[in-house]
Amino acid sequence: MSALAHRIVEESTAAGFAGPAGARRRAAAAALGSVGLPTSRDENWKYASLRPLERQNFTPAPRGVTITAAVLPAPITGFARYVFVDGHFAPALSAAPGAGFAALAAAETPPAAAAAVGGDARFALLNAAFAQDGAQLKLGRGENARAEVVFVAASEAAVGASYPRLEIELAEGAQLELIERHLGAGEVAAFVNSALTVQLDRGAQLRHTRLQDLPARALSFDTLSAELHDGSAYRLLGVATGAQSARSTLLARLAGEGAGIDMALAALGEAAQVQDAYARIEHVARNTRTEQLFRGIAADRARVAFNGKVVVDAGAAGTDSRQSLRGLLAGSQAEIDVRPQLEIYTDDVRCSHGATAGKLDDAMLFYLLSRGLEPATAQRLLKWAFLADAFARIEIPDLRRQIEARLAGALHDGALKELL
Amino acid sequence: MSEETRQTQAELESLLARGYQHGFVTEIESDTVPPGLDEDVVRLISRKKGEPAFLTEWRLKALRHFFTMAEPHWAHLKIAPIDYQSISYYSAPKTKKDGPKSLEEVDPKLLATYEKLGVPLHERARLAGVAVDAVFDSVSVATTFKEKLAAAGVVFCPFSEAVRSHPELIEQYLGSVVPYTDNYFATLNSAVFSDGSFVYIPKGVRCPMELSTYFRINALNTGQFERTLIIADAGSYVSYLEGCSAPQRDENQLHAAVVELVALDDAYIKYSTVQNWYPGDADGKGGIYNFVTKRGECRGRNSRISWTQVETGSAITWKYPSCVLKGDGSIGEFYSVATVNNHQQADTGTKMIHVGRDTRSTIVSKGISAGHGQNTYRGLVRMLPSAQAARNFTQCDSLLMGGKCGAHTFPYVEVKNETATVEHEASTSKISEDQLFYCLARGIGAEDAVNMIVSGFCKSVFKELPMEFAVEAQNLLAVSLEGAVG
Amino acid sequence: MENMKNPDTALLRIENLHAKVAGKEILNGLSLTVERGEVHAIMGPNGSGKSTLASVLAGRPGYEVTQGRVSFEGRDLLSLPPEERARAGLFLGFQYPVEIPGVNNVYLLKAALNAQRKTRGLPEVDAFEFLTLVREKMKLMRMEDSFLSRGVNEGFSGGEKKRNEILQMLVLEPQLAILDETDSGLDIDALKIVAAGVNSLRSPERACVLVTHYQRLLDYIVPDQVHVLIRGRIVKSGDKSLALELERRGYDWVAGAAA
Ligand SMILES: Nc1ncnc2c1ncn2[C@@H]1O[C@H](COP(=O)(O)OP(=O)(O)OP(=O)(O)O)[C@@H](O)[C@H]1O
Ligand SMILES: [Mg+2]
Repeated sequence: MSALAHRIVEESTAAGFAGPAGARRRAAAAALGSVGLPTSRDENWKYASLRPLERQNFTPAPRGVTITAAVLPAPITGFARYVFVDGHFAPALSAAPGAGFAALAAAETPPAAAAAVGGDARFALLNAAFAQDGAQLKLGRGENARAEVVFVAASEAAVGASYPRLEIELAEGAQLELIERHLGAGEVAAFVNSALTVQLDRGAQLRHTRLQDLPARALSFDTLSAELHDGSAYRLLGVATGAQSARSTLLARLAGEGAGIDMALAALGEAAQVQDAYARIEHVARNTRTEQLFRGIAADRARVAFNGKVVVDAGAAGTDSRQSLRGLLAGSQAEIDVRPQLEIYTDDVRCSHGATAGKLDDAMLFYLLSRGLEPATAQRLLKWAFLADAFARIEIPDLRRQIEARLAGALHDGALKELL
Repeated sequence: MSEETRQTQAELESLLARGYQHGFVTEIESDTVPPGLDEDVVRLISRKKGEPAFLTEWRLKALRHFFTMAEPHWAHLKIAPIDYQSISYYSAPKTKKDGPKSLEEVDPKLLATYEKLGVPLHERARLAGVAVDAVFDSVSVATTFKEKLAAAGVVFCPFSEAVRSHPELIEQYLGSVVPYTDNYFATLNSAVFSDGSFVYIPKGVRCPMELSTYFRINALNTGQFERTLIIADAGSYVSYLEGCSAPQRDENQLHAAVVELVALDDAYIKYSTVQNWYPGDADGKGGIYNFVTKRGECRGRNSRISWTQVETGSAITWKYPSCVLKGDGSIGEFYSVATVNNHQQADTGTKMIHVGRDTRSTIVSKGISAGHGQNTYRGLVRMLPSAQAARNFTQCDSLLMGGKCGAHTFPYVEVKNETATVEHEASTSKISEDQLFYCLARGIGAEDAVNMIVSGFCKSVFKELPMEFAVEAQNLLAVSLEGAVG
Repeated sequence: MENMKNPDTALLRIENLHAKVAGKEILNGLSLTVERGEVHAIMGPNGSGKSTLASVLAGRPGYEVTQGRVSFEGRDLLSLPPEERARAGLFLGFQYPVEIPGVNNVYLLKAALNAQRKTRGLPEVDAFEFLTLVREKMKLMRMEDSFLSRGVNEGFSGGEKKRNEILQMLVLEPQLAILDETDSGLDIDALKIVAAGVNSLRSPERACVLVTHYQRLLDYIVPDQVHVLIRGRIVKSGDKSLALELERRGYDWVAGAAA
């Protein structure tokens, strides 16, 4: 066991969780102890920033840190809101609970250990070992809901880590529109390790928008594991702008015939930020679909990386998968890494991917200049358009405006804001 | 599936069973060192070849380093464990004296072998105009067209001869592109390499003919570790062809070669390979383990290195002919067709490392998988911070025939210069039933139809091959793949 | 020197222009003067350098001027970056307008107009006024409102792209419009619409250079002068009857005469 893994087991023992939940937590810690955390020598972790983990305090931040509603984004009309501060449910800041919601600490079923042990889901084990609370959203047959879950990191890493947790289960034909946000209360150097599980039964539909906008000194690791059954559909849209260093791990299994996932991710890195994401989609059943889009911009000295892997098992005849991954460099010391990967074990497939990394398109830039636009404005406009491939898919107007404003801010362009 | 396609498939599957056509063994007395690997074996090889001290030392350093290394493990290759101590690291056809001095002295049986392989060894051979250096097991047996080349100032000879005739070039360039510490198999090769080809093209010379080496593994339980070094001096050009075959044996045989290319200012090296080592039988028994390190360095401004490969043989192929583009304005190219059938596995691709400004690279990879074959493209395109305005374009397509094979695409795109551009495109699909049906509807037999479609699929690579090779490659492809439509 | 004594009254004066693209000399010794109020047509075989001339004038990167001078309203045009040429009143209607998905058509129009107004010391255009102006011009171009909210040229048909170019021209009201084959790919009605658009902008102050392969456009926009460009230079100039003659006799005739 590595020194780091050893420390994690000790910290989790010291945290002294009791009852059946405690046993599960200890089991997760032990499992993590035996597989260890990844290193940059691991193929799927080579672009992530892992060094800071060695100095990390993993003990959960205490309950009771109070924040004011002012740090929260404006509510989105029609959505129930649930707020968690450092992983603890904050009812005072939440709107009246709607269908299917339970805070995990209060739920009958305490957090289950992550199903996928080891491998790329190791940070989910870390979450399972330490998570205090979290949200559970369970919709019954044919039910319908709209919910916003806001995770606020309020503590400095020195005080404790934040373990957001979200478990989603949609029964047959259920539909959920979900907004998941990660942000900070002020400029805290938080350590955030979130885990999210998604279960979609036959014909269920999940539309999920996740926004990672943590403070500039935060360190973030998240793991999303999804299982899709017959005919279910998952639309995921992610926008990552925050944190000093963020790593997102997305694991989806298309286990039922006709299931489909459509993911669009945008990432923006500036200063010395690291934005790394890994998405592994496994086609298990027949006639399953993947649509994957990534748009990343690396400015200054930032590194923006995306590794998207599509695996087609022998039984997944009729698979259709498309990947479009594009990175833009906007800084003399910036770095873009893109890896579109295909691993295919049957012949009845249609898979394609395209990846580009580079600068803005010369012809587009010239066109704008020839219309009299300032070079700086023209460049920002094209960056905006580049990201729009991803965020233009947001169909909730209020949310779209918020995201656009955030991105315009990130591109330092008042003019873009005015256009919204 | 329609009845028609079903029939086609059955027909094609029977064609697939057609065997390896180069799997004969030549009965020749050979001088083989006993299996095993230690410093004494390395010294023995070096002594047998009358090498200067610097080379013996270099080999020993490589060997010592080899013993500190762990064998690599790959997620996508299933490899039976290799016992490096049971391999014989040197095998040479026995001759009366030191070796053949001219074609007349070459063992007629050997010449007959090459004839069977279709190698144009003899001056009167069909493909006159190709200069051939033939490597049989580990030793270079004959080099043709010596005089004509010598007149142009071109050095083209067995590596072991170059060690004696041009030691200064060997000392300067050997290991300068692929250092002996590079990777497990390159390190092993550095310690035990027995022969190979050496080419030097002087300044401003356009090599007057295609140069060619034909490799063959003949002896039982031998590994083949050849080493090729090509230096193209400023403003020169050379086209180099490499072909390979091996007899049919039940055991796996190891082939761990190293090829180093150096292109100076404005030089252009075109390196083409048709690899047809024995792939093993239909059940995956036997076959060559082909672990090759090929790398070219474009050292000079506006230099160019182009790799073209057609990989149809071997049980396992592991190779990534690469280019390090150091010179400003230099160009790297990689064109590849790799087929796997039965239980073959191929893990191949390239690395393009852009160092200089305005460097350009093109990658075209066509993978074809049939039977239980697993075909992996692995490619790295890296733009270093110094690679101002560098560009890459990659096209990488896979064709699947039958539901039990696999096609995998693992590109790495790493860009650290904001003026550089990388574009990668890939697609994977099965052979189009529409195209197939179209051909059938025009009265073309299934076998021909598949051949037509596959060679259309590979066309952009074949057109990069020298003419003589393009024909051979087409034929090989047809033999290794005919069929398997699922 | 002469210019300093007698200020140049020509809107555009090109003298002995040589330009290279990708190391290849495309323009070699081209001269052309366009006075205010004039319409010039440039015709010539494929690959003769018409678009190259337009690109050099608009300042496209990658086009290297090796010799010669270009003055626009008496200023040295070649020393200006592309955006300043545009703001000074030079407009290029592209032969192949690029698609820019994600950048709003109307946003580009507004940004372009405001950039120009700023250089002229005018305040930014009022949103309401702007929309009224754009709608009016769109009506002229028979374009539907929906084109405003689409990405620049995104998914436009060939003819729609050309109309969009003219729309931009109408909104920006340039001193000099260089329209590179704006008539190619237009149906008969669209050709008339585009011609009407160009004509609506004709005035004693402005000028227009039409690059075209077809005499038909010149039936609707009658040129003052017609030039034949072959192998990077103007080999023959004449009035509108030259276009008719070219249509009948082809370019070999001029090429032969010029040689
Ligand atoms: N970027 C470039 N690289 C290489 N050659 C170029 C480039 N751009 C233009 N050329 C060449 O310059 C010549 C002139 O091209 P240009 O586009 O100006 O022709 P044109 O007169 O507009 O032709 P057309 O009537 O077909 O539009 C052509 O031979 C063209 O191939
Ligand atoms: Mg043109």
